[in-house]
Amino acid sequence: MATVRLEHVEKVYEGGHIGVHDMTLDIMDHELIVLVGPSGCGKSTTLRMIAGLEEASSGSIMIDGRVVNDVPPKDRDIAMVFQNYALYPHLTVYENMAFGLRLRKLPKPEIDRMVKTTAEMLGIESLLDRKPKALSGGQRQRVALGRAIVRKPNVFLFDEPLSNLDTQLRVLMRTEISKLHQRLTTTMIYVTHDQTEAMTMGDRIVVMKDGYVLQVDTPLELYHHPRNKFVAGFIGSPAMNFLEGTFHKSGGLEFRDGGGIVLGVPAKHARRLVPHRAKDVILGIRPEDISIGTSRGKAKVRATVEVVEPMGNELYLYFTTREKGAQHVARVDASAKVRVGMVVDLVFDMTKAHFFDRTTEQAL
Amino acid sequence: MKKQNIFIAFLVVPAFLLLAAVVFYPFLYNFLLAFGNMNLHRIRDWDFIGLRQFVRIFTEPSQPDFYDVFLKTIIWTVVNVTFHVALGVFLALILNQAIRGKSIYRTLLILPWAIPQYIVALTWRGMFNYEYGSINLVITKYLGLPAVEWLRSPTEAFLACILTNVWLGFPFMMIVALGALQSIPHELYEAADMDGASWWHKLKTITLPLIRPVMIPAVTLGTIWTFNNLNIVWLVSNGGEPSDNTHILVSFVYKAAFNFYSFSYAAALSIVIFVILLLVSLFLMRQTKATEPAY
Repeated sequence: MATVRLEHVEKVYEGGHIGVHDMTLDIMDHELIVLVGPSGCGKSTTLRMIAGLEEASSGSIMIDGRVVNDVPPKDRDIAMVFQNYALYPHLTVYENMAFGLRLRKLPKPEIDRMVKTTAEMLGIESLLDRKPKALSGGQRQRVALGRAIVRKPNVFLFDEPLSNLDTQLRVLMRTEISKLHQRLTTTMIYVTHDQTEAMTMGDRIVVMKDGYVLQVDTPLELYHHPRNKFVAGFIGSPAMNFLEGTFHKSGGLEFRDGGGIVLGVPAKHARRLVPHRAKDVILGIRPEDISIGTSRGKAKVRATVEVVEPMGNELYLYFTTREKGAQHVARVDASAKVRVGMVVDLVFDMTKAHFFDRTTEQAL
Repeated sequence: MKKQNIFIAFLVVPAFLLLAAVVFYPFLYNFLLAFGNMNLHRIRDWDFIGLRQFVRIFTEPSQPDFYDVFLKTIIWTVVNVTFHVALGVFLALILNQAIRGKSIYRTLLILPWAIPQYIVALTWRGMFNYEYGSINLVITKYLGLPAVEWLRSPTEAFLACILTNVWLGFPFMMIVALGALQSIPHELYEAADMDGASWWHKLKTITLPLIRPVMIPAVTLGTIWTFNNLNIVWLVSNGGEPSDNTHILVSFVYKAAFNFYSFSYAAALSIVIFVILLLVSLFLMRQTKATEPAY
C-alpha cells in the first residue's frame, strides 16, 4: 500500500541521449497505472528508475513519501515481473518463489506457508516441484507473478509481462492480473506497448512518446478527449483517421481538405474553433464514427473501397477519397453490401470529430 | 538417385581417406602393436604375444615406476585443470564487467594461448634457469629469498612444468567462460537485485549454475588435453629430467617409444591411457548431465 511520486525526473544516458524528459507523475495508493507508448518512448526506463535498476539523472522518486533515489532495489519494498519471466532456471518453482523470502531470513514454516498460499491463489500448486524449463509460457508467467506477490510488496512493477505469450493467453492473463489487482489492492505500475492492454487494465493511463509524457488520464477520457494527435492515433483500434485541411467560414464553419471534401463543423464545436479558422488543421475521426451514407441532408464523402475485412460482427472498410490518397478505415455494419472497388458515399459523424493544429499537433 | 549417391561419395571420400590415413590406420596399427613384441631388435620380425605387454606394464618394475608416473599424471591433470578453470572463470567474471580498456585486457590475456606451445615451453625453461633465469632473479634480487633449484630437483621441476602449463591453459577456459557469461539473460541479475541477493548469492545461484553446461564439456576437453600434454612436460623438463622424475604417462610413452624403441610396450601403454581417458570422459559427461539444457 503506497503512493509513488516522480518529481521532475529525468534520465540522460551517456552520450547525451535523453531517455525521459522532466517527468512529474503522481501514482495513488491502490492504483493500477499503465505506462504505454511505442518502443523507445521511455516507459521501461521510467519503470526501471522506480525499481532502482537504473539511476535517475535528476529529480526525485518517492515511494510513500520517502525519497528512494539512493535506496537499493531490495529496500524499496517493490517487486517486479519481467517480460521474459527471469526465473532462476535451475531452481524449482517453489525455490524460485521462496528465494527472496529466504534472503530476508524468514523462518522456514512461514516461508512454506506464504509460498503455498500464493501458489494456490495462482493455481500453480501442482507445479511447485518443477523447474522452469518444464513449464509452458503461461505457467512461467504465473510463477513470475507468484514470485512477486509472495513477498507482499507495496508496489508491483510489470515490464511488458504478457508480450511473450500468444494472443489467447494474453487476454486470459490480462484479466487475471486485473483480478489480482482487485484482490490485493496493491499499487501497480504496468508497462506495455499494447494500447488494448492499457485500455482494459489501467485505472489511469500515461501515454509517452520520445521521453515525454503526452497525457495522463482515465482510459475513456483518453479515448474521447485525446489532447494531441499522437494520443488520438495511438489509443483505439483500428486507429483514428486523419485528414489534413483548413477551416472556411461560409455561413457556418466548414472543414475543407482541398481535394473536394467539405464537411460542416457542428455548432457544438464551431464556437470553440472559430478563433482557429485561419489555421492549417487536421481532422481526426474514429472508424466507428463513419457510416455508409443513406440518410439525406448530411455531408457525404465519396470514397473508393480498397479492402474489406469482415470481422464477423462488423466490417472494416479501408477506403481512399481520391486517387493515390491516404487510406482510411471505417467500421461498418456486417450486413453492408460492399465490394472492393465500389464507390460508396460515407457519412462522417462530425459531432464526434477531433481537430488538431497541424504544426503543434495539439487538440483544438 | 544413383547420381546423387556418387555426388555424396565424391564429397565424403576425400575427408574419409584423410581421416583413415591420420586417425584410423595409426589407431588400429597401435592396437596391433600393443599385442606384439616389436622393439629395436625386432622391427620386422615381431610376433603376437597376447597380453604380455599389458602384464608387464602393471606388474614388472620399470624406470620410472608406472604407478608413480600414473599418480603424477593425476596430480598434473587435477592441479592444472583446477587452476585453468578457477583462473579462467575468475578473469572472465572481471572481463564481463564494464571496465575501461576491456578489449586490451582481453587480448593480453588470450596471448599465452596464441603462442605456439613449444616456444612457450622453451621460454619458460629459460626463465626457470637457476643462474640466469628471470624467475630466480626476481626471487633473489627483489624478494631477498634464496634461489630455487627449479629444474634440478624433482619436485621443483614438476612444479615448473605445472606453472608453465597453468599459464598456457587458462585463456581457453577464460574465453569459454566469457562466452557463457555473456549468454546469461541480464534480467536474472535484476530479478536477484530486487530479491535482495548479494554478489555471492548471485554467483552461486545464477552465474555458476548457468555457465556449468558450457564449462563441463570444456573441462572434459581440458582434462584430455592436459592428461596428454607431452610438449610442456617434455620440453620444460628436457625429457623428464632430473633422472626421469618429471614424467607423466604420455612423456613416459614417448620415452619408451622413441628413446628406448620399445614400440609394443609404448603401444600397450597408449591403449591404457586411452581407456583411462575414455572412462573419465564418460563419467564426467554422465555425472554432470552436461548434455541437458539449462532452460
